[in-house]
Amino acid sequence: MRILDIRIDWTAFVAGDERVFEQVYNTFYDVLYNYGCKYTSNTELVEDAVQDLFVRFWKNRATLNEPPSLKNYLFKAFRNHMFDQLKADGRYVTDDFGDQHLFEAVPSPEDTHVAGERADAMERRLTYAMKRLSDRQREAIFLRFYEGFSYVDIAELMGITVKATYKLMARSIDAMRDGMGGSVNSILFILTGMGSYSKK
Amino acid sequence: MESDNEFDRITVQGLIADDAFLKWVNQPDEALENRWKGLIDRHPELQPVVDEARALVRQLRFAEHRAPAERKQLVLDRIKAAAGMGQEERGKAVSMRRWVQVAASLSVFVLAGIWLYTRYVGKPTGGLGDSPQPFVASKEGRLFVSDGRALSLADWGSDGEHVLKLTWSADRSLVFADGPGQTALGVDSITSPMEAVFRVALPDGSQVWMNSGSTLRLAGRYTGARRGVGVTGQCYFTVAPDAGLPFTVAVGDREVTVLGTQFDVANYPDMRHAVTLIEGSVRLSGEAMPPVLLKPGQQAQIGHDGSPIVADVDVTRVTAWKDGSFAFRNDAIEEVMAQLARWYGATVVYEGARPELPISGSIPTTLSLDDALAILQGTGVDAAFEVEGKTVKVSKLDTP
Repeated sequence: MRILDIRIDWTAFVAGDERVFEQVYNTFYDVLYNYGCKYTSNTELVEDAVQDLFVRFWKNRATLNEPPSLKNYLFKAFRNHMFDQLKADGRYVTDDFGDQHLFEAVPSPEDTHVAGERADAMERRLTYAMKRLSDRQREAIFLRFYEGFSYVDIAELMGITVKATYKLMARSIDAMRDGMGGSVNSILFILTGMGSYSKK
Repeated sequence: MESDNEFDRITVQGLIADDAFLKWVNQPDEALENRWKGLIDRHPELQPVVDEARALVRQLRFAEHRAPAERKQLVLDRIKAAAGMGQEERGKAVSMRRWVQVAASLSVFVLAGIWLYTRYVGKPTGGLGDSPQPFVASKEGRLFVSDGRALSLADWGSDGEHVLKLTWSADRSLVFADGPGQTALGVDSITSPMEAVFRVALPDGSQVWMNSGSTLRLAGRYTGARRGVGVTGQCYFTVAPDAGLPFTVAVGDREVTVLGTQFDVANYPDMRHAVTLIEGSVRLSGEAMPPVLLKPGQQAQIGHDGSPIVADVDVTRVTAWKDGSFAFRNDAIEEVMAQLARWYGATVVYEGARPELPISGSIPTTLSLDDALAILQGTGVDAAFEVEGKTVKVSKLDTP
């Protein structure tokens, strides 16, 4: 699911080439949908937000400058729009989401064979540590670990300074390491023992 | 990680911030593999740090939400239809000319209107009244008309006064017409602009003042046969007396029934609903609760269950927003920040210990968020504020 950025034929896009548009849509639909579902369980709202985003993207193409990163641009526009919608719905009022399962960590099936119960225990601890982070912290972790955005990108995306992003990430990582206790180290020799860093 | 001699600065934090490291963990290729393994071979002491950072990134999985393929195609089809792709755009554009003129001066807003419009075309509209509204928060406010379009409320009114006048159509439905000779548009709901008090004048003479970013639902509720509204956010009502036609406000699952009066309704998800009576009489009723009659000067706070809590309040403070100020009296920081957050559309984050000193005083709502916070600061509160975009970080100040 990890999508690197893509570069498109911007001139053709601006000129109205719908194939280029579809290329962008097909590349980013799934990741944006996944990202949107982190904010709400209302999948219709997410679909509508994706739809709005792409309709605007097409309609405004003549006045848009080619963004340095298409992925950054789309994520940011999408995030803003999602927030507007959720806010209007009264579902995003403060930073405190309450009972949510947003940016939730889940056990990773493909790695559980590594060390059986120990891996399970580790994931449980990690999942628990994640639950105790604030939503912004979880989001920053998601954007970094999962989507591979740079700290500068994350700052831009979340509308905070780069310095604040470093701070946010540092706190999140510390909290996760604390939550993990010694289990990271105890499992590592098994991971490294596998000899391969490749990953599906 | 440009060269090996940086290794002495390698920490888990540093590695996770390193794009080359993250790429190696998430999308390894041969070159990255050789580079990192080579580094560890030469500096085995780095192994634990690299392993811990790697394990954190690798072990953490996020719930994955997969869009069904047919939905992906369906959304693409809707986009194409909405964006007028694969066809001439002319026809659509012409039919929208009238409200494009209404909608706005800024092209951004016009476009927003277009995609809202097209978005709801072809969708079943469902029943009137309580059907979910196509809410879209916007700084400039929105008027949703009965065919699903959203018109911008930017530049409404004059002299700093934002008033929307509604009238009856021939068949007694609520409409608005932007000047003589214009087609009347059925009114569905209104979401008021941010950082402003927006007034709606109803055809029976009743008036509603809407606090920043509030929503008033009218479709199917306000007719010749009944006077009903739904409120999200905060609204102040002056109701024209009409004994034959009670005025009702839906607040959550409760109803407020009114006979010629002035009152304030606050319905925010982060607090108890509150109905405050300024003048006249108000009856509160709902399922599984005895009706409650309010006297002027009383406020009823309604939780999700049980009877409302009724107390005497300082009404000038409750309704201060309407006259252009925030008013606080021995309020906790959370209450103060909640009011600012609603008005400015800001998010409040508390860091570390919370400020404890109660806050009193008033601040004009015409100020910017930064200035409002500066004034708060100046009153000697034990709080420090840091504003980043629309986020306000609040922490405790030890030496106020």
